[in-house]
Amino acid sequence: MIDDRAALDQWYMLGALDSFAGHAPVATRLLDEELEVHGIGKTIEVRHDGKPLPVRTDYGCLWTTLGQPQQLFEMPEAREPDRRSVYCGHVTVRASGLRLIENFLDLAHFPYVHTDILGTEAHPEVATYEVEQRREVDELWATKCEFFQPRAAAASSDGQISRYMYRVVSPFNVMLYKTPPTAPNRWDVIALFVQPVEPVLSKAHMLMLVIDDVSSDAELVAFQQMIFMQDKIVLENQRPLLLPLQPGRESPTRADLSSVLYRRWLKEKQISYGVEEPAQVA
Amino acid sequence: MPELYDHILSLEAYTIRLALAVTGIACERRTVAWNPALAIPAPDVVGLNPAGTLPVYVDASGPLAGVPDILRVLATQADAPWWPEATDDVVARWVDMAAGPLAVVSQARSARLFGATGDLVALQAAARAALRQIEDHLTDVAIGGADWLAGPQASFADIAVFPPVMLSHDAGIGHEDYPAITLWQRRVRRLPGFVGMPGIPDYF
Repeated sequence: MIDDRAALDQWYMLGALDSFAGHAPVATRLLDEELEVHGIGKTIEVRHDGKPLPVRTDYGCLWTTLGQPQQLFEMPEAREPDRRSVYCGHVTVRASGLRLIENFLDLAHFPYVHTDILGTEAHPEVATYEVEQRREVDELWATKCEFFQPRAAAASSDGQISRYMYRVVSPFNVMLYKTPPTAPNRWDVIALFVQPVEPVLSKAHMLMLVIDDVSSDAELVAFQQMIFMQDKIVLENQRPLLLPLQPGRESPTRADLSSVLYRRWLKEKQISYGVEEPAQVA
Repeated sequence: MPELYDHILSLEAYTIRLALAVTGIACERRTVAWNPALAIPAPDVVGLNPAGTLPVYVDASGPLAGVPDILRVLATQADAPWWPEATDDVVARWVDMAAGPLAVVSQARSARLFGATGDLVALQAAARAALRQIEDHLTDVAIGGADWLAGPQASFADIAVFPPVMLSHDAGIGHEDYPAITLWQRRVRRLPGFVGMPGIPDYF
């Protein structure tokens, strides 16, 4: 097993609870290790080398760990009664899980990758936003992000200026908060929980907690999957495959502030899984 | 107005979305719950199509499933000759090929992206063999000066074959070995009304 504590001592999402409960045992992989998920009546057990691992079932998701993590992050929005919680499935991507998280934080690609949906070439500018490392909870937060979006969500019929916040709760788990088309004073939550299978193979799970009384579950899921599949082509073509953390390997601009601080945060944690080792740089 | 029961990620539904786009035939899209990882029928369409597969096209004469049958109907409604009488069996051969031997691309894609059951290595090998057939045919007709699978003009042969060929990337099969396919797909992408789908590269 790897000895990267920064990667091991975290909670990882394996899927929606109802894909495991009451089903035949499912084999899956996490951080190069083989796991087995057993749904025994109402309990779910995750076994590694025949031994049960710690398990959590928050937010309708199955979480496990190969190490000793801190408490799982809080998502108070999950307790709001008028909010819809929809698991949008998983997609396997040939890319480092860290690249998936970093791409999720990026706004600049909206007009080019999600053309006429999350952005338009007529409005490409990423206005200055703020990023801070909240050390007391060990989370990274990007706030005051704004972007003009022709079709911000499944229920949108007009363009809007979307306000965004991003919250990275661990190296492989991130969520964004954005203005719902029908409730401009609240936030929709869209989460990306990455299950790192191998250093450059990841299973991306998506969960939405949204205010929407118009769209069917199918429409919400299809919208999210469409957006993700548009990103997938970019993710699988990024080089180097492993995320470089050495400064000077790439040249970020002001629009890349989230990415710069995310990499700095990862470097501080000394995570090596999915990361380009300094020795590999020519 | 006719309806298309559809899902953004379905390769087969995309084939009909593409046919509707290039013919300009108006149709309402209805997104249904569809899980590509599971081999179970899509619940919202079982009443229209007992097999529960996508897409289902519903017009005045009722529901219709299966890409070849839907393309036949769309061809009769289109203004331009997308399935000409003169080359009827040639077009039919490619439409059937897309639904037959090329269908392994869709299965390989579901296995690789969504964890659907299937022997990925075997499916990829079968997919490569089918792509090789397309490549060889396009090379032959190019030597004769033709740009399209079934004659001098684009037809539903090209529309039916394009989705599985282009989504082979999702199945883990690139097009480095298929130069004739690469040239042909650029022509398809330039057809008036063309729409792509996520997973189809538009940068080469």
